[in-house]
Amino acid sequence: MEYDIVVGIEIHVELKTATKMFSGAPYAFKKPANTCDSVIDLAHPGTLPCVNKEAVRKAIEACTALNLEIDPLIRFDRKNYYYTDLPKGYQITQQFHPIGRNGWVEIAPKSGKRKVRINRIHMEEDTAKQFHLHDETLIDYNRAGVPLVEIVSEPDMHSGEEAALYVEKLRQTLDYLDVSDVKMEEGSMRCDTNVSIMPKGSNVFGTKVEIKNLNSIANIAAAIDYEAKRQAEVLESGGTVVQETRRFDEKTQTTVTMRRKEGTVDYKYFPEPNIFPIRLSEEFIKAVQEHMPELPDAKEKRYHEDYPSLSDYDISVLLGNKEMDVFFEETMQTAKNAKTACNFLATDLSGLLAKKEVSFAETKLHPASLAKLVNMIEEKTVSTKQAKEILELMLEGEDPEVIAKEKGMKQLSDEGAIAALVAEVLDENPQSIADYKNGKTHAQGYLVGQVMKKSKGQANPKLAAALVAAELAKR
Amino acid sequence: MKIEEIKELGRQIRFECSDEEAASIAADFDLLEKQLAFFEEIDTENVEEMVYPFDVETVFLREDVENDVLSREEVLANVSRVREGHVVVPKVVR
Repeated sequence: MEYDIVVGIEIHVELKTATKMFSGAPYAFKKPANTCDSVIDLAHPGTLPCVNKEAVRKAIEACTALNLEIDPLIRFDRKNYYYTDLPKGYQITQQFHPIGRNGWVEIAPKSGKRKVRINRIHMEEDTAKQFHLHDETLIDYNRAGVPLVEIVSEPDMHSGEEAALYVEKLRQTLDYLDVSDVKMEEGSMRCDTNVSIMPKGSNVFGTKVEIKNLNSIANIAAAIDYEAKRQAEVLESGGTVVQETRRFDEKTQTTVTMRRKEGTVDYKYFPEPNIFPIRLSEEFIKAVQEHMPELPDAKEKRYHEDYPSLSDYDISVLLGNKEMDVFFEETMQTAKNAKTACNFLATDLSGLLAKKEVSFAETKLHPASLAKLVNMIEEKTVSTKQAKEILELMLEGEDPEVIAKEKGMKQLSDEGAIAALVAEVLDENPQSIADYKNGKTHAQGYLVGQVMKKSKGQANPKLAAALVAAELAKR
Repeated sequence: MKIEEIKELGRQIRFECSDEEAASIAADFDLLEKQLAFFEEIDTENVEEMVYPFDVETVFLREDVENDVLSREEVLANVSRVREGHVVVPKVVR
């Protein structure tokens, strides 16, 4: 039987604020354990939560970029459960009145562009980080109380490909907004997916299985495709899909059972009495929305208009890596050829930096220097091949013109000078001319090679070839 | 409350309790339930539930500025077992 796959995704994103959701304690990844806490995060008696303005701003930006309606009355609720990662015994969240509702993003799978609806975005606080050892657990409360938004999609995706595109779209958007670090490998963006299958054309959802611990976009696609196949096999062999939580095993590229539901947990939600409802003024919301950075979709459009030489693929590569894109924009302040700049960034420089484990933001190579190099090719003072050699030497911050001079790498584009070399070469090789006249066309290539050799590799190869052809015709 | 119910609640919050402990807690609950029964005499028909003492909206949001951070020594002051700056507790997950 054929099946339709139904996928819904919940994403938790840590907001990039200086302090926590409800306290003035700072937070940064990889700080020494238990050094980023206040009495509020540790739930000392008598302490009261106080909502972070910047976290609200960032939530508004995320809602706006993802087309959600914003509720100007901020309200919080308590989700009660007892566990060591949660000092208060409850998590403050927005169960009943999320800050944003009814949004969407557009994705472009192979089957054509379509919208994925977003049900809601709500603000909440993160829990402490736990390290489970053999028979005991270590707790670091640094992460307790860090601001999060949870983004809940509708079950609108139907393949691993679509789910991966959706998550990548959110990652890219939130990255450009600077709302979050969105580093899946560091946990600042965490993704849980619900997967079920139903007979093709049916409108009755099958039993859904939750998959956790998806720490890369490639794993999301792989996990969903595997899980849908597994469920189909269970049904085909006469079994039933069990409602459970599974995790993706990277080594085997399969999903394995993590836990079966031991009856549903009752979180006993109720309104948070320690935080009065907060009314956001229209001016406040508007001010946030008016100061948002340019979003990837708008930027894509602008690049097509400003740099017609760039292909759809080139633009998607640039927008897929914010640091590289920032570098590109700075390069284009003075560079005269977008395509050349993009090629250098996306292939040569990316490769060189990856080898040295240095990011675009960290490299000593300045965008203005790259622009200079691009323009040297444009002005034909160096060949593309020479430019690649120069680029490698530029990583320590040296100027491309200085390197070219030191290495004697200048492209000879003076037509008269090359013509003189061509005449010399032809005079020295009468046999090659005879061969050429007798139909041995490869002789022409040999002659061009001799010209290049005589110029110590500095002659413009296109110009040299044209002049050799012209001179051969004359003789 | 029955002893089984007490034990089930204990299991949910991951506390093990013996039959004697459960019986003692059940006895306390008996008393509590008798006292709570008095509330049932109050007529709450058509009375809306109340979350906040005053029915007002506020506008205050805290600026995103660091303050009142505890030192690690303060964070761990009441902790009985510490390892490499972490709080150590029994493992309750498999």
